[in-house]
Amino acid sequence: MTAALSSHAAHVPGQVADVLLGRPTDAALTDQLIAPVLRPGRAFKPLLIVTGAGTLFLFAAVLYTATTGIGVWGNNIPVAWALGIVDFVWWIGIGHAGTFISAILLLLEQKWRTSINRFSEGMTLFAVVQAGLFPLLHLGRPWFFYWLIPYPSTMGVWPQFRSALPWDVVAVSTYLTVSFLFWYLGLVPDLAVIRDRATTLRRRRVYGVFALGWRGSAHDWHHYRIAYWLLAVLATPLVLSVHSIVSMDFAISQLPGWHSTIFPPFFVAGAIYSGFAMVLTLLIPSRKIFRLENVVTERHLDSIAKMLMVTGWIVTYSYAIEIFIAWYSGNGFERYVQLVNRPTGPYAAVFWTMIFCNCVTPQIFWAKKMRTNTVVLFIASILINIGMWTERFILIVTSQMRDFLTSSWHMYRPSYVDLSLFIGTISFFSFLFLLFLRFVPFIPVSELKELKFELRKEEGRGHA
Amino acid sequence: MSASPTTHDRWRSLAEAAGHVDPDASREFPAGVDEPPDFGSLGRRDALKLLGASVMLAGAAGCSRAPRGKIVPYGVQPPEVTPGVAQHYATAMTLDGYATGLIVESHEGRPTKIEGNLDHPASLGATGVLEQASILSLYDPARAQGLFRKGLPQSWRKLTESLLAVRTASGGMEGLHLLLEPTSSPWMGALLARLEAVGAKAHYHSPVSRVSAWEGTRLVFGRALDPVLDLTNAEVIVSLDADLLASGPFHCRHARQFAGGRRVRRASDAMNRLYVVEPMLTVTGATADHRLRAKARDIVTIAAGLLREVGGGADPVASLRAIAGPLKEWHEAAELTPWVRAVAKDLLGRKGRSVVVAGDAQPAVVHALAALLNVALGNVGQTVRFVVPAILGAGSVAHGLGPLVADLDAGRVKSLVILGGNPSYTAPADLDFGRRLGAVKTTAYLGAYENETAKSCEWLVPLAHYLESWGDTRALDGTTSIVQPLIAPLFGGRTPGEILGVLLGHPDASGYDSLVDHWKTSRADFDATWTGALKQGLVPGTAASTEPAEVATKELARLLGAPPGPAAGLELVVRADTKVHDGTFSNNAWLLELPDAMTKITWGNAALVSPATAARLGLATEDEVELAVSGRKLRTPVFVMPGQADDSIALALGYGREGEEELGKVGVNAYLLRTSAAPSFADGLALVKTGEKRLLATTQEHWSMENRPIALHAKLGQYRDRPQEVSGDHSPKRTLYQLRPDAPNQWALSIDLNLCTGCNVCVVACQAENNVPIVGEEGVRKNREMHWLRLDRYFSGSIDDPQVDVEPMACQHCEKAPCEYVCPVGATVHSPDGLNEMVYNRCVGTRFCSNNCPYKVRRFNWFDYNRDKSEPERMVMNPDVTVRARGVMEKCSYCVQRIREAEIHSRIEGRPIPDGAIKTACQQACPSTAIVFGSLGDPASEVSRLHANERTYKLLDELGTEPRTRYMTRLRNPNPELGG
Repeated sequence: MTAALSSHAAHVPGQVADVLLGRPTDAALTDQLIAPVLRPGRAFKPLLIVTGAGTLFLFAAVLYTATTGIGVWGNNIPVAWALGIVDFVWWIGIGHAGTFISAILLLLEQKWRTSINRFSEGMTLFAVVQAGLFPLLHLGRPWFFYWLIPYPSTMGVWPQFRSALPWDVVAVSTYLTVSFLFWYLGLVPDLAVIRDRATTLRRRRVYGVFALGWRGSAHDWHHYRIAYWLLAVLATPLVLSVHSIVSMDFAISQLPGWHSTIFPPFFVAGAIYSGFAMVLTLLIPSRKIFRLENVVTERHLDSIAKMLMVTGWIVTYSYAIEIFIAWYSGNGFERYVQLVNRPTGPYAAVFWTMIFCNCVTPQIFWAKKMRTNTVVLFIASILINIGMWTERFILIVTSQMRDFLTSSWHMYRPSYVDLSLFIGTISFFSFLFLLFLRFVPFIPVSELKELKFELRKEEGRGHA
Repeated sequence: MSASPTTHDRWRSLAEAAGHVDPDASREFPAGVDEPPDFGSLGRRDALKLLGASVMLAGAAGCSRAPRGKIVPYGVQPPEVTPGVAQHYATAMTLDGYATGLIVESHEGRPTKIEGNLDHPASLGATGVLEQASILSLYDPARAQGLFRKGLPQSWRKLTESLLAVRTASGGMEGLHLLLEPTSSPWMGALLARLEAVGAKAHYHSPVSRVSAWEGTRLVFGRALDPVLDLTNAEVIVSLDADLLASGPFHCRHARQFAGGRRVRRASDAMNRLYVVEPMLTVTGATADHRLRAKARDIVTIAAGLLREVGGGADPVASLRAIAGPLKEWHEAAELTPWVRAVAKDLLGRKGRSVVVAGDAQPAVVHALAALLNVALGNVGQTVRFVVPAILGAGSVAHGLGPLVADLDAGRVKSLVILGGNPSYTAPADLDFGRRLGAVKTTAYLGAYENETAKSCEWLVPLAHYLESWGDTRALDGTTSIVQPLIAPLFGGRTPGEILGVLLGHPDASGYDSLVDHWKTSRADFDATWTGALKQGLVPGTAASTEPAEVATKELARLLGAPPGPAAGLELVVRADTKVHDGTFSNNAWLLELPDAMTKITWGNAALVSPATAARLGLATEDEVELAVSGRKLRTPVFVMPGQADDSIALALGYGREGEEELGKVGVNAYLLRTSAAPSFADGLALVKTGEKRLLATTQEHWSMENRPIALHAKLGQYRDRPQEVSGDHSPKRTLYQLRPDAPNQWALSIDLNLCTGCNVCVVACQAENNVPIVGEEGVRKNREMHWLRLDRYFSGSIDDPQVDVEPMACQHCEKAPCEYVCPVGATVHSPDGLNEMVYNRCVGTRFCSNNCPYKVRRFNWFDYNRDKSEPERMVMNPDVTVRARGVMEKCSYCVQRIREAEIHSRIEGRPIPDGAIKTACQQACPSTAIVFGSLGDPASEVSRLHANERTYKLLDELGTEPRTRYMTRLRNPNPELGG
């Protein structure tokens, strides 16, 4: 199959054309892309049950934590932030690819974004939902979470704005809102298609409600386009701001290993890196199962792999700079964290896993063959996901466990509740994603038709 | 309105508006309330009765009961109890028979905090760890809560019948044996004398006794005496395995006097020098200028060597001639000649200004040699004096279980009454005391818990806590205190004196009446002195007189016969624990969670092994080993401890309990290896690794400072040469933010590391004052201990024989606090008077503040630690301090409740707070006066002067936090001849 596609791609002139293989009719495209919604596969139910059970497991862990106290986690003094924050940063990082693909690549007029943008937006949304759980749960008194929000309190008390945590609340909640709107707005024309092709009355009504009365008139399209571009423009800075602000949760402190001005760009690059890796992890099986090789082509995989290389190098460079600056500063505490504790301390194995996964793995993509080999890509994406989790672990835990006074140096060991929460959020994420695949056209039908139209126009020009 | 006739433009009544001014209206308070009350015809006794009634009513509100009898508050006596205003009463706690005078804070009839009594010689205002923590034992719900016979509730009348059954028709009480803890109570002495007169027999047993000290003085002076030290003018102090600064009677006094000789403010100030020889690292050893690791069995040869060098040499001092020969032999047996010679030379250079102290765990001969050394150095009468022991029967065979066991085996014991202690647990293992008890017809045990002894006795009578008891007790120097209760017995407890009263045929007489009777008969001036003695906490003029120290060394010559053979194999050293003592406090959660001063182990004990011995035997910390001494075996975890003598394995007593007290079960029972022949140390220890692991809970995992400037230290010589350089870089830091203090008082703390011994009392005092919760063994293992004040202990130099530095660490109250700007809700803020404040109500628990605290002094409530407390446990809470709920941060507040209280008083009195009027809990308890609190707003205050001292430094100064707590570099005064 792969060979056949490659040979097909090879004789299409230019780089642009292979973002869509063949030129199916509009009706054929629609049929292909909304088929999963109208006719679910057999594997759907068992998968939903498994991930649903995992989600219940997550809720049990959340309930246990909220009623008993976060003493059920492994956190301690000095490691007061641990797996909860590692998971938070990891998920929010994953949530970066979606908006990057849909907004920034839209503004940059990258055609290869079209087939995968909704898919990654969905991923973003669900990842941010997982991420949002953690800071809430991580509070000692989660029922007072709203004290971090600037609301007109009768006590006249406001959040303390010098701390990065209220910024964080604003950044993440804004990101979640805009991501949701952007995703939903893009969905509206496709929801209308399902409504129009619905086989049952109930489905027609439900999709009709969510389609917001879309009729597909030129008037509708005109306003839709303006709104979509506006949201893209709004979302673009958010891609950079969210993880920059998350990084400041660490950077504004004076803890060696956290106190670093490189953090905002470093975190954003890392986030996009992990986001693209997660897109690959989800895309490769979906593409295979739903036989989407003609719309999600090797061209897409190749572009994502190149993105992984670029962001992987930014991350590698950041690691090197952190270590260099620690050495160059001459500060003993910084040097200890970067030069001794991380590479040789009790969590050295995690550190070297991080280096292998994040710095070594993407180098295989120098070979074009590897960039289009789905097996290699899938394994690499998993490794990068692991690598980015270990990066957050190293960054957060090793900095705290051995800081200034050696008397307060202590080891950190996660508890089973910590691990349950992590596994639970993966289940919850998968659960939501499965529902997304089942009920919503995850490849944007209308945009793809538009793309086909544009491609044909270009081809026409090219042949002329 | 403008036509109103009033001269006032604001008025409160028509009368006032009309110009009739009520003179009282201008006063802040109604007439008379701020004047002393007019009792009129009310006599002293009636007034006290009223007071008692008030206490009872207030106590009823506070869910407690007032004590029986009249008690007199210390200091300012309020006309009645004012709710919210604490009262203070003097009393005394007895430990191993010796008293420490205390002032106890009581809130509405509920004692909550223990402080030292400034006037009492054993306290001088300070307290020890056990005194501070004893208040928690008062409210221990595991205490015996009723009278039981063979596990079933029984009546008091039945008990008295059973106890008096031994009495013959003629009133004789042969066959009645009493087993007591060593006691110094004159009242009990009188009662016991009356019982002994009719044939009863008293025995005394405690695993922590001074029998060897009495025996030692008997060898030298012909009779048992107690040495009383005066370290004020001691320039050279040699400790032979004596932890004189942190345990034993008078240790607070020793620490206070020792600190006096180390308070170096200027380069020209003198400083004393401390030598310590010991097998296991103690607080005193860690404070020493020179510490020599030695097996416990070898200390006698070092003592003999010292004596030979000092006075028994070629031309011995007259009094030593009798033992000159053996001394020479012993001296030659010791391999540490250069060390001994240098110390002896130092001692000889300070004749009359030095002192040699022997530890209670050392045999009599070491005490004898120490006494002879002091005689030879002319120290007697200068730095040490000898008094007749305050303990009843000191020096007689009554101390020890030998005669009782002989009587038990011969069937001469018809009835055995055990008053306190826990002999089934603490008796030497070879006596099998618990089994022997079974053969006695009637056994009654007055005990605090349903413990090992209670299980082997017929009767269990609940023992009253000392804060529930009337009694009297004496200090090491003989000073007598009246023990007055702060609260009526919570669980129906009785005192040993009351049980003696029963045996004397007064089953219903109260202890108070009996005590007063005794004092009335023994003192003619009773009426004049009683109230004063209660108020002051001691009976003036009761200190023992100094006994002449005339040497008679005949018996010593016999004891010194031949030096011991070469040390063979491993040695086992067992010691009373510095926290749970002999097991008396093994159900006290504060003490169990208190990190050991040196090992930092909590919730249990472990066999301490030196790094070299551990390497040789292939042992690592938390390995389980089986120890065996003469057939007795015990499995215990190992802890590799720097500073431990090689081939000497130390194990603390007091753990591995088997009674009903749940908490005391932690650790291993070292009594199982302790025999009457070798009560403190034994040769021939066999050690086998079992291959198992046993987890320990320690609070400090890393013991090196990693060359970071944390706990600074310097040699005295370096300081004298370059005073400015011992405390690091003092240069001011550039800053964008200027500090503008906007209150007259700017609170600050100074900790002199040169005075701090690391004795742990501040940690417990802080816990008691600030309602600091405990987290349990599992919590400590997860590094969640809540102590607001911790003692960081660092080792430097060689791992086998390290230098020890201790640094108390609590919130530094940074002027530019890193915790404050990262709190998202403003729950930690700065007060105008320089405190870094914690607003518990506002805290949501992000813990960002802890992450950003470079000192890691913030503590988090991971669970709701206070929720499941039972009723008596809640009573220990200080009502002036918020009890924290789950999910909030907490930390040292500089005892803000004490600051605000003083401010309120000063505002009412209209005068500024005098320097030294506010003492933080840690400062108040500190025997070494290492902690000084005060205001930087007053340039003449003690803390201002200390902060300006050249030895003062700011910890982690380069971070620019500007801490208000500052440290003073520790100095060491080594002997130049020993590589100083």
